[in-house]
Amino acid sequence: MIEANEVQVRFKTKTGFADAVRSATFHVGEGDVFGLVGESGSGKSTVLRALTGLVPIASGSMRIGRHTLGKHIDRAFRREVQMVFQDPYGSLYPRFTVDQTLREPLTINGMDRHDARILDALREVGLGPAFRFRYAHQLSGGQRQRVAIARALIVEPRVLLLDEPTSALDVSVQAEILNLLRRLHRERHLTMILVSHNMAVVGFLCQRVAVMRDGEIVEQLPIEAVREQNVAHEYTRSLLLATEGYRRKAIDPA
Amino acid sequence: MQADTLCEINNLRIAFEAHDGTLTEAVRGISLTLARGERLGIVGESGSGKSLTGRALLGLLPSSARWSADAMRLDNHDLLAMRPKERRRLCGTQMSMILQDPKYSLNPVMTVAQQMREAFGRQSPKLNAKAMRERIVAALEAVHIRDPQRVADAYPHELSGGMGQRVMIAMMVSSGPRLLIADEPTSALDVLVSMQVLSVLDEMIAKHNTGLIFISHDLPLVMSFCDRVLVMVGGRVVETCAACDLAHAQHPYTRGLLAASPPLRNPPDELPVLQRDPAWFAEIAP
Repeated sequence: MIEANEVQVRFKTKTGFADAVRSATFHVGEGDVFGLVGESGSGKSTVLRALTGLVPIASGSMRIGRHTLGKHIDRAFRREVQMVFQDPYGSLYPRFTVDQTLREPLTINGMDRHDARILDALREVGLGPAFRFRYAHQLSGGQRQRVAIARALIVEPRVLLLDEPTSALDVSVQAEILNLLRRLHRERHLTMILVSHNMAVVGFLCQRVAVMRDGEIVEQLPIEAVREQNVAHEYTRSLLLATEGYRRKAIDPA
Repeated sequence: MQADTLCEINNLRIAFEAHDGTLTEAVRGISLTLARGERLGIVGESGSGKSLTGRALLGLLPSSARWSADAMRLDNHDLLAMRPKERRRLCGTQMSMILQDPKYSLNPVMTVAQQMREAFGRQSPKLNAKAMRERIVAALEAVHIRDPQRVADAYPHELSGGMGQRVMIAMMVSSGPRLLIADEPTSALDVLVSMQVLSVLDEMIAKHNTGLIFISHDLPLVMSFCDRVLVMVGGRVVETCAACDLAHAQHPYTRGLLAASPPLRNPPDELPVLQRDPAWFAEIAP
């Protein structure tokens, strides 16, 4: 479903170029949940943004379904690939009600039965119709993230890209959102890529995991290996160790 | 007040006035003490009043807040009787705070070096430009920033969230304050960086014998980093225990929070979701 081949993303800086992603190659099968983990600045979000066409790729190729990413991205592609961003406080337009937020993608994509679809989408993410005419500031963080997920799902995408969907939320709310994502994946047979730095979150949702560091994928492994801590790369091991909590005086600084 | 008590709050209440004049209580009679060099974790969901408690100590409550306390002291300073000017002098030297989100807590129109100069200038006004630069670079290096010279001249928007938070910590911790309030210092960071940041915090706190109030919603982290934990819900402390005993906590809220974090090994098909008891949020303590 998703194929990335030797993808490179570079940004211009004051002193030349910085490679945010270097020769990333991965493959995600139809209906799979693929996890990308790594520290901040490792390029995992950039890979997602490249997949949606939000950042241009310098070399290599990316393909989602039957679409190949190029200069021109058509509307069918945009509809098939939807993204949920990290910060639900920043990703919803504050002057739109939930209704307007959900209606806009429908209008853009020329879809019919707006009202019915909006109500369906709200129900699907576990928000009642009472939330329809609220503004973003009248919602809690978890409710906002549900609206963001509803906005992505309302155009019936086949691929859902999740950029740290729960890292801005409390653990109790995180559990609700993770349950929701798992149910949606099962019911809709969505292909998902989940970016996270939390191994436990990735372990809950994903089947395969790629570990990124400094713009490169250092290891790709099935989730069972992660759960059994059967990992080859030192970096993956330190990530796993860090997930278990802080060890006083035991971590030596990198 | 005992001899080794660093900080004490007694019966702190904070309320906000709504448009129609009704008061909503956000913090409902919190009392806590912190010993010298102790690490106290405050855990709870957003809206439980944990951040407000930390801010009240520094005198950083918004002007719309109506607050009262029976006692609030740091060392031998009575924070309630102090003049605002004197109290402000304590901030940044005797007590500092690490805020939640570096995107909002760093000044977007100043470079990192400029704002660090402001903070360090308060602590040691006589430093010359060269020594100041060295100190800034050293402080950035201490928080494991790979290229401190470049970061010093960068604007906050040019840094990643993790780097921004490390800059914030470098600014606050290197003065060696007596009391440090860390308000979710690592919730914007990824696990590895937060471990490094915590080891820096650990080091600094041990060096200066700083008392730490660590506000977080991450129970495993608090369990492993702090000595003692307060669990807050609806503006009240529902449970206090030693950090190592948190796994055997009694209160249903604490148990619910513990169960909600996904385990790495054998995660369940569906995560248990916290059931909220309305009595926790009631006006009168249950």
